[in-house]
Order: sequence, then C-alpha cells, then structure tokens
Amino acid sequence: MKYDALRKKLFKKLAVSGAMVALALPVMVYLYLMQDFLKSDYDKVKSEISGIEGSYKKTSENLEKAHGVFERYESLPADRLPLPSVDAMEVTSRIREARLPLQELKERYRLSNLDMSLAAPVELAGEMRKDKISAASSKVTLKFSALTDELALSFIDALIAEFPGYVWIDSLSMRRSGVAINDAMLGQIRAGTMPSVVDIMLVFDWIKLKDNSGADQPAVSPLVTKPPG
Amino acid sequence: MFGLNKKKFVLTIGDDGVVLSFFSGSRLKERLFAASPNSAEAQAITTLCDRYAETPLYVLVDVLDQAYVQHMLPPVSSFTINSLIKRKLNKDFAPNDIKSAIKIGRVQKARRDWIYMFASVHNVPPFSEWLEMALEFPNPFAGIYLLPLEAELMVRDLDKASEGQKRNKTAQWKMLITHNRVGGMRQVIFRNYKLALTRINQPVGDSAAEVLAGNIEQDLLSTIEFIRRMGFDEKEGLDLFVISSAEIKANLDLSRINATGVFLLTPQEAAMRLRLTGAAEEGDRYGDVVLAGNFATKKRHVLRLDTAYSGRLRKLYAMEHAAKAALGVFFLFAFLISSYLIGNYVSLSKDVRVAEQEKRQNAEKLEKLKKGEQAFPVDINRILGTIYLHDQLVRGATGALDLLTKFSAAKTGNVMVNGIEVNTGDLISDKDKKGEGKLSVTFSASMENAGKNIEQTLELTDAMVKKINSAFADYDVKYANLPGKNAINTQIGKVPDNKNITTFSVTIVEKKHAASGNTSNAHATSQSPAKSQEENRQ
Repeated sequence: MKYDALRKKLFKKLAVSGAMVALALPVMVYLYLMQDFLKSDYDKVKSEISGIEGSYKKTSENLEKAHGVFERYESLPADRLPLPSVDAMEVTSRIREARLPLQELKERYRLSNLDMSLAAPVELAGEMRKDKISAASSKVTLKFSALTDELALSFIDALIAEFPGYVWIDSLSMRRSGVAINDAMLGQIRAGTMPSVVDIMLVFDWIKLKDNSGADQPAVSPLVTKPPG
Repeated sequence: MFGLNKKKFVLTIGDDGVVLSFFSGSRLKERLFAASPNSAEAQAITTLCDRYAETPLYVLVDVLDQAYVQHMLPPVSSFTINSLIKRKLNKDFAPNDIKSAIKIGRVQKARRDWIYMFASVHNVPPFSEWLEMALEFPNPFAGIYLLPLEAELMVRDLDKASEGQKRNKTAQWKMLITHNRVGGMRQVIFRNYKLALTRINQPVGDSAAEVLAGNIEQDLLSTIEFIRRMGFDEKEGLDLFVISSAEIKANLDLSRINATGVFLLTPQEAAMRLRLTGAAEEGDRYGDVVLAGNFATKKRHVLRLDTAYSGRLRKLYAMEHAAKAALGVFFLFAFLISSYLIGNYVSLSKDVRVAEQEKRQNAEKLEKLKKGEQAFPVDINRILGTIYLHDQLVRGATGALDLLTKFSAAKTGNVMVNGIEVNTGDLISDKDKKGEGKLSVTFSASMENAGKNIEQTLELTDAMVKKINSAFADYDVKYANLPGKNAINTQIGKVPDNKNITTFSVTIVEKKHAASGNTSNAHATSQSPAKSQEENRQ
C-alpha cells in the first residue's frame, strides 16, 4: 500500500521535475539567444562605429588634401578638367576637338601629308582610376612629313604641351629621306608646297579625364578620320 | 542514502515492545515506548512519525530470535561470492527469515577461504507486526539493523572514551552488557571488535535490583566459561562495559571476574561518555535509548538487512534521491548558466548603450565634417582624383620626349639622327592592369668619320659612347653597328675611311617603370618639361 503510494508520488515528482526541466531549458535557450542577439547588435554597432571612424578619417584627410591642392586644381586648364562621362567617351566630339589644334600645329611647323586616325576611347583601369575620376584614352595615329627632324620634334613637343587633355607617346618612328635640301626643294617651299625630308609615324594615347559621377557610357567603335588640310 | 540527514527515528524492536527514539544529531528530541502494536502508545508513535514524515526511520532489532553463524566459503572470486552467499542464505535459513551476511575476512593461509558471518532474524510476531507497522509509516525506510552487530560501534566509542581508566589498552575481548527495556539483559562479546557471541537474558518474576545484579553476575560467569571454549584466555585481556540502572550498578559485585577493565555505567553516564545530549536522565534504568542514540549518530553501519518489501521501498527512495540529486545538479547548472547569461546580457546591454552613444557622437562629428566638405566649392573627390591623375599623366607624357632631348644634348657634333623609334610598351594601354612596359627609344644615327685615321675614329667613337653612357647612367644603353672597339667582333676590318659615313643605332631602355612616377632620374627629368608644359598652357 505504502509502496504503491510511494511509487505514485515518485512518478508524480518525476513528472513535475520533467516539466520543470522542460520549462527551464527553453528559458535557458531564450536567455542564450537573447544575449547572442545582443552580442550581434553590439558587434554591428561596433562595426558601424568603425565605419564611421574610417569615413571621418578619410573625409578629414581628403579635406586636408583638397585644401592643399585646390589652388592647383583651380589653375588647371579647362581641357584637363574631367569631362562628363558621356563626353569623355564620345569619339566624334574628340575628332572635332582635335581638328583645330592639329591644323594650327601643322601650319606652325610646316608639316605636310598629315593623316590622323583615331580609335574610340576606352576607359583605363588600375592606377588610372581614382574615386569618381578615371582616364579615357583614345589611340591616335599620326602620319606626317616634315622638312627637318628638328621641326618634327618641335611639333611633337608642342603637341604634348598644347593638345587638349594629355598626350602619351606610344611609339614614334622617324625616317630621313636621305636627300639634302637642294634648289628644287627650295623652289617647292617658295611655291607653298613643303618637300618631305623626314617621314614620321606617331602613335599616342590621347587621354582625357572622365567624371564618373554620372552614368557610364559604352565605348564607341573605333573611327578613322582625316583632319582638314 | 539517509546518512547526511541530521534528524533520525530509531525504532528499537524487542520481544517486550518497542522504543522509538527521535534524534536530531546527537540530541534526543523524543522517546516513546509501546508494549504492543495495538496499544495507545503505539498510536503515539504513529502520530510522531506522521508529524515528521520526512525523517528517515531506522529499525534496530533486539529480539531473542536472532541467529549468527560464521561460515567458511570457498575461495571463489569476489564477483561470484555474492551469489554463493545468496544460495547459502536461502539454503540455511527459512524463506521468511530476514537475513544477510557480513564479511569477516579471509583465511591468510592455504586456500584463502572467505570468512563470512551469516545473520538472520525470524520474521515472526511480535517482531513481524512491529516491522509491518514501521514499514507503513510515511517516513523513508532506512533499513533493518541488528543491535548486537551495531553495538560494535558503541563498544569502540566506549572503549575510546574509557582509555584512561584501563589497565590493558590492548585487550582483545570486549563485553557489553546492557539492560534494555524491550529486549532484556543483552550481552554482546567481541573479539578484536568482531562479534563473537551474543546472548539475551530476559528476567522473569522478581525484578528487584539485587536479584537482577545477581543474575548479571551469574550470566557473566557462564558467558566467560562459554567463551573460554571459543579460545578466550585472560592473558588476551577482557574489557567489560555494563549499562544498567544505578540500583543494579550499586549491587553488582564483579570482583570474581578477571577483567582488564570494568566499566559500570548508568544510562546517563554512558550517554555522557558517548556525548549524547538528553539521551538518558538521572533515574533512567534502561540502555535502549543510549544504544539507539549511538546508532543514530553514525553515518555508516555494520550490516543492513531488508525484507523483499523493504528492499523495494528503499529502491524507490533511492530513485527519488537520485532524481532529486540529478534535478539539483541540473538546476544548479541551469542557475549558473542562467546567471552567466543574464550577467552577460546586462553587461552587453550596457555596452550596446555606450556603443550607441559613441556611434551617435561619431555620426554627429562626421555630419559636421560632411557639411564642411559640402561647403567646399568643388566636390573634393573630383579635386583629388583630378590632381592625382593629372600628376600621373603629365609624368608619363613627357618621358619619351625627355629622352629625345637628352640624347640630342649628349650626342657629339659629327652624329646625325636619322630615325627615332619610341616605344612606351603597354604603360597605360592595358585596360585591366597597371602597365608594366618599359619606355624605350631607339635612335638610328649616322656618324661622319671625322678622324684622319682609324685610331682617331675610334677615339671619337669612344668619346661619344662615354658621353651617352654618362648621360643615361640610369638606363640600359645598347649599341648596334657601332664603329670601333665597342663592336670589335663585328666591326674589325670594316672601319671606314675618312670620307665614309657609318650608320649605327642606340637603344635606350629605362630600368624601371616610368609611369609610376616614383623612380629614376627619368621621372625627375620628365617633371621639368611637364611643369613647364603646364606653365606654357596657363
């Protein structure tokens, strides 16, 4: 009799204990999850703080640098300032832009047989990209003849200095005809036709800066054109 | 299982009734006597047990019908000895008997037989009635114990407490005589603290102190005669402990007994020696409660016996204890883990608050800075990007031209440049990678042989080479078809005469990348025309 009562009591106790354990376990799991979530929150906030600090440092440094170079930026010629993305990648506007200075240089250095071909601009990568500004390069091939190598070199020198944007010589070949200036040539010069003594092929990258703040434009297919004159 | 419980009930069952002793540690809280299970006193016992239903109940047996038999068992392994004992217990004792065995030791010689003492109690009325009643008490049942066996612990305690009064401290034989209310005059003889003999003498008729004292003396002499047959020798020493009323003690004359120590104690004196508080009062005549008290103070006992029913009961208690212990461990663990988690949570909450505040402060600072940035006339990223790329491009743009200029200055007067090939490699033309090409310029030149003879021509050539090499010390300079000793293997014998013109080529290759803008004189030299170029544009 006592045994049965005791057994019943024991089972009851075991059931109650089981229920207590069953209640306690979820509470523990809940506590664990709560502190785990909080830990994630904490890590997230810390990461945000780190990000803000990084931004602050970078912005602060950039501001300082910008203060330092602002004067130089202001003094840059207009053709060396970044173009809107669309304009920088536009080949026809480049052709138009190249005509006048080339014509002027051709006359200045008495060049003849000037041919120009221009490929569609491509955007450069790596070192040639900085934040929102990048470089768009168009490969230009110039073939021309000059009276002397000095004139040809002076032309190249002037091209680098005066051509809009940046000129980066890729290759240059210069060949003398091997004929000395004679009376016939002088006659030609007097008649306004320049005799060719030196033949030159100049390949250069014509680089302009591109502002990527706006939408990028797809590259245009290469074109070949001949400047006037 | 109940050893750690401070409160204990000890129900001493004898042939003349029971004594229930309620101890809290070594302090007696209550004692009750009942002569029969149906008496009013028995009801009082039930009531007391009901009141303290959580206190474990021990049954101490002091009835006449006890049997102790020492057996030698074959030297089987310790794993199988228990089954052997069980078989022998079932064979030697009646099925209804409550029985068990206790190991005495092993024979030290020959086969090393096991020595066991088999103990049993006849489970017959009135003992069985009392036991049945005790088993139905609500208290946890802690087992059945035999008074003669458990008296060993008391004798040890008394022996220790009486050490200063003994002639022989190494007496092998101990005799305890105690006058109990429920059992009568109990004699227990130990040899080396192992039960050797027990007797009980229940006085009948006249219970005058003088008569009882005389009975004790007589019994003692008989017992000594009996143990002499068991090998007792006075030389081995005998200590005698007698617990009886003060009247009996006064009438006892034990001068005829040759003992090394005789200790006549009233129940109160015995209780004092055993450090039991309130277990006996001055006028007490019986030793039951003192024996029960000494038993109650022990955490371990000599031998526990069980009936089939009490065994099942105790299994349930054991399960309950195990469950309680497991639950306790679980909740302790849960408490510790929860405390840790809560502590962590509180600490993290604080950290999050601090971090949120720090984040707000930093965000405000950044906001202020951004406002300063917005106040700038031009987007600063545009300014920085433009200036950076401008510097890179200007450096690279003038590199080739610098070499041309430098070569023109370095060449000697009799040298004419016929062709120039500039190769900037893939400095910037590769869209996906930083250019790694090297700037190289190849000059095709012709040299008029101004020397009057070969030696002079060679000297002029050497002078030119030296000048060019010096001008382009930071570059790799290679010559082809050069007249004179610099191309001795190919040119020997071909040195032209005065009127001839020799054509040759010079290739100048930069050692390091020109576009990165960090190395070589080429950069240093390239910057000046670039700057001047910039100035010209302005």
